[in-house]
Amino acid sequence: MSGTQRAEYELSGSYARKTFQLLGHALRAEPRRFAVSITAAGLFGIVTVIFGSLLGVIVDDVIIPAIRREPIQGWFGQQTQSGSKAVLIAGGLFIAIGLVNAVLIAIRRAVQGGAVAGVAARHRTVVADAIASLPLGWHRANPAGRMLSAMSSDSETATNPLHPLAFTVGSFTMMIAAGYRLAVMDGWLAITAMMVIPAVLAVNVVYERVISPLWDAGQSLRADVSTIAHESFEGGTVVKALGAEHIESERFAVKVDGLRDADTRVGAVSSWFEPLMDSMVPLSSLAIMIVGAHRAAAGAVTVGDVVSAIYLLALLAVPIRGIGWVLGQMPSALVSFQRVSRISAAATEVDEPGHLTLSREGAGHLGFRGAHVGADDGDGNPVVIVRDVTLDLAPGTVTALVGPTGAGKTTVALAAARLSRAIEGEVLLDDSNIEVIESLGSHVALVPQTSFVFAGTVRDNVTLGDDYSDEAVWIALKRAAIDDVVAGLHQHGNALDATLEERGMNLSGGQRQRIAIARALVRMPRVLVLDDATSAVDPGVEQEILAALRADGAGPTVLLIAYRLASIMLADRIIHVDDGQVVDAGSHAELLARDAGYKELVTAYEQDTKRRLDENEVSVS
Amino acid sequence: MTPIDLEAEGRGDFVRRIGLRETLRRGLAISPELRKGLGVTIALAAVAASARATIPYLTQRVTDEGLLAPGGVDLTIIHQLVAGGAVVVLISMLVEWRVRRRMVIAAEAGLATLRKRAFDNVHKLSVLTQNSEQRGRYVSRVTGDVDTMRDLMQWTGAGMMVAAFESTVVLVVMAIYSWQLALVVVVCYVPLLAVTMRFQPAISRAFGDIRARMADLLGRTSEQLVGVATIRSYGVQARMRQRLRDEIDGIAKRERRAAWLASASFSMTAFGQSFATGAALVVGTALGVKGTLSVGTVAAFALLVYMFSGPLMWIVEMLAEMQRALVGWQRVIELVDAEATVADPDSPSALPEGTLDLTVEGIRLTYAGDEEVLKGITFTVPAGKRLAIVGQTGSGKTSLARLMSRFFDPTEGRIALAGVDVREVAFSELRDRLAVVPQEGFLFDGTIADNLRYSLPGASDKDLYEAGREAFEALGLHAWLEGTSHGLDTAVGTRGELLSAGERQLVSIARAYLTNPDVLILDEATSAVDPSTEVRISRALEALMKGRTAVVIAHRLSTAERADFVAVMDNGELVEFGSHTELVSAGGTYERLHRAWVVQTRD
Repeated sequence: MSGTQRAEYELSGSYARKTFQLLGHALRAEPRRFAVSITAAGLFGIVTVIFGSLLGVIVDDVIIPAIRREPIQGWFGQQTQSGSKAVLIAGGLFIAIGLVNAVLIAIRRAVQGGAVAGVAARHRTVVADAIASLPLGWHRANPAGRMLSAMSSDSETATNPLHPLAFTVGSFTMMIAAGYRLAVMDGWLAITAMMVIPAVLAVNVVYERVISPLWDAGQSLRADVSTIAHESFEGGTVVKALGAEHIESERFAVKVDGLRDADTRVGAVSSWFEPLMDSMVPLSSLAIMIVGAHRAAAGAVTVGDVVSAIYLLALLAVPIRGIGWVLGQMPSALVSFQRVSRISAAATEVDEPGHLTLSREGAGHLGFRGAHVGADDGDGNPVVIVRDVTLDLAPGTVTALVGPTGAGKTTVALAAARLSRAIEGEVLLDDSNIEVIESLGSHVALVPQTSFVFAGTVRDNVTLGDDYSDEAVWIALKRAAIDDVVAGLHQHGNALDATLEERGMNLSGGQRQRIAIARALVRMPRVLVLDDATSAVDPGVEQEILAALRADGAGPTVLLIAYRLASIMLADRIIHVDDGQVVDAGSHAELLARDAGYKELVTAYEQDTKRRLDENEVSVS
Repeated sequence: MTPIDLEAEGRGDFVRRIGLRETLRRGLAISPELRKGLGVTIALAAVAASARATIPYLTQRVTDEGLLAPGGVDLTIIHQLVAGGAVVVLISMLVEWRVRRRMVIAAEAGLATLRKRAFDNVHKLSVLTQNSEQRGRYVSRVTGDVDTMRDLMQWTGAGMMVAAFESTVVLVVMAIYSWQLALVVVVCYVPLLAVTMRFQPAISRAFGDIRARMADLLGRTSEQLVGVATIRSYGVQARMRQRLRDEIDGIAKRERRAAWLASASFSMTAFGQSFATGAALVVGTALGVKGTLSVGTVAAFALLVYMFSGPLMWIVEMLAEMQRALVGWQRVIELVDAEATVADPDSPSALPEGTLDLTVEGIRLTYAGDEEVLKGITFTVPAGKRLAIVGQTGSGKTSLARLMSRFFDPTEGRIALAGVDVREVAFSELRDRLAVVPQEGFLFDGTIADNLRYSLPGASDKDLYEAGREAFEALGLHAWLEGTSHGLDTAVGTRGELLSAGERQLVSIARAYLTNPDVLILDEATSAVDPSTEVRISRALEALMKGRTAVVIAHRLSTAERADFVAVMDNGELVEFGSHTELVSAGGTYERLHRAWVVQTRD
């Protein structure tokens, strides 16, 4: 994510200023398309005004004389003196103008549609680009729904006022042209007709003020309804198991009724807005008739001028509604735009912060030197989670991190992959600060708790697009004990081409975890970090995988978080973490002897088994 | 019993898509509020629309009688006409306000009902239709789809209704002025409208395609959200971004194509407007020359054609929008009408008092379009005894447990409690007597006590807290509860996420305990939690199962070891059944599993 992208999405200042910033962003994102469609709209406006003026000219010069059997006047009179011919010429002109207008409309609308699609795509791209640049803390603090709605509804809502943009901007030319035409005819007619514009703006300003708070209230209830539906459907099995359907119905009904009332209040306000806007132009037309009649009586204008003025005013009705539309959509569009911009602003992680190239020989040497490791709290502030960690993971050894939930194990594991940071002290790989190492991913492979599997081929899921031979992929799959499953996915052809469904839905949890492990292994990492990455794998298979890692002595340095005693026992060294601190480190036997907390933790299983055996014996006797 | 159509239900897309007439019929039947007072609303809309003809009518009168009056401009008559016009415009404004307001109230009431009906039905559907993928789609039906319809009913709907009347009224006025000119206008328009309508299916297909692509994009996005740590640690950010950008560009490309289609169709009607105006002027003047039309009438026609075509263009413009809303409506109606595959019996049989035995008789289960999942399973769990079901992923053990809980029904065979087929038992009784503790301890947002209330809906706060504390006590979780920040008032967060996975399990065990069931169906959690919580969970489960008939889907052999009976499932078949000791000495599958497990855990 680049700084320019962030700057592009900044909004500041007053409401009006933000409105211009949003429109400016759109014009900068799609300059050519907007230019074409605005030009088409502008030409359309001019042609329409010509059409309106022509009507007046034709009434005065052709229709009235023809019907009264008087000589044809003006330009038409120069062409022909036959009334029927003049009328045919006039009709032909109308049709020609109509054709030109139809083409202009088609261009304006299509190119405009393309421009809006481009702006929406720009919003989506910014969100897509942000995903991997947002600190992990941000992802923890914000639900996935926030990113998804930024990608879908926010990107759409933020472009809503743009749909009539070209038409509205273009129709300023229509207004200017109409105003000019009217001013040429008569100043009073022009002033009367143009009064409609400030009136429309005033109604819109009042409307925006009144409706915004009501609309906000509705939106927040809408979010509540969605949250309850989400929660209730997600817990559908529990609801059914508890027979709690009616409780859920009631809970939902209360919010739905609240939303209904809030939306009805919004609707009540809009109900007078629309008719009021609709009556603006008819009322102005009436005013024109009066003023026009007086000016005609005074001999300042012709009958045709008055008819033209009324017609021109009727033409203005549509662009005036366009302005209303742009302004009416603006409050919600700004809110959505800001949601995208906040995501963009928070995406501060750099793809490749390192510059130091390390040798890829042998297993890595991972060290923590008095590191206070922390994460982003979601608002861009670092928070220390684990304090003063000093560790040495000798090359080729297996180290287990043990501790209760919330002790900070994951934070330590993430620090090894530079996904959490040493706020003080350092994390070292082969004696170099991990912060400056280039393509750290080729040295350290992390397998996180939740496995990442995407819709695509098995090969893509393992290689992530990096260049590995099929043979290497198969070896990795075998080491992750998932080769049989993969081989079974495809009856004919290369099983690596078999596709996995969205989020790996066609695999079990344990199988997804094993795919994730294969992905780490294919990279032949020098340090492998397994963050509870085998929790859903069958215990027997888990043993098989972990044991294989160290079988040939050429394996990576392993940092392991696991809960099963058998897996912990595989480690050369165990680090006991509790409450954000390293309590002790050593072999299983050493910790068992001197660390009471560790002893309690790992012997819990054994004690439990014993207790149950005792109980069984009691009940048998 | 027909096989469950997993294919159709799985997509959350019920195969049959109903037509427009059926949509309106069912839609109005589901939300009777929409129909209430509709006649009056339509009549008022017609009145409001008629008033729109005021300006062209006045233009004609003012031109002929005022401006072109024989003795020069007649200001008095113009003043009278304009004053009358102003009154009509203001009245029509008020009438239109009433129309919109009536529509808002009716639409909001109708939509609220629709939302509730759809929500209630989701909970009636079998568990099969509730997997995680569809939940999101159901949520979007009770939220997004209903909101789209809201726009249709309130704004587009009201607008279209007024617009349609407006065009009709203007056409009538034209016909009154001059039927010949009205005919000319219609003849100019009809072919163009016909061409426009032919575009519509292609346009709506294009928009449908975009929506489908959008769903794909959201799928890809949520995948990546899960994989952020992996993506960053392997340095494949650029490649993953490109995947999304490709989807985004694909959508933009399709949107551009749809824009061309829609604009071609729209510009057609725009051309019709100029064409008809030109034709009306030519024919009008010709008629004027013959002396059948006044100058004012011909001039008014230019305005009338504009007023006739404006609403038509607007309607054409809104057609795509309307189709989108109608599809939304159809989707919600389908959800309301989706038949619950598991139904409450018409005349339920009562279960006897006391502990119940559980019999599984020749159960077969086939999900439509799939292989048979359970291939004839028979066994009995005597009252008060405990059965552990073990087997590989995909062996059918979870399906079997769900059948026992009557989350759905078998294709063949029966499941009986104390000899009564579960399909004969009323749901309310079944849920009272048989409790299910699912794998993931799912909690609702609120406090621990709020979650316990699901088991004791009628209880007073005092009783609830008392019973809650007793439950935690009896389950050996007293110390854990004490250790929480606010005891029973501890907030659990959305989905219970403020608690750890293990702690969520504890609360859901207490919740099951409070229903005081006679039969328990437990699905043991597969994922490992930290050992001390693990110990708490297994102790609590022990206490919960004590003295009750219990079926446990066991993922740990230690659980099987403690059960009275063990059922070993393999590939949909029951391969071994007996006590732990019997099976260990039998030397079969179970013995092999057990031996491997002993080696792992006890070295």
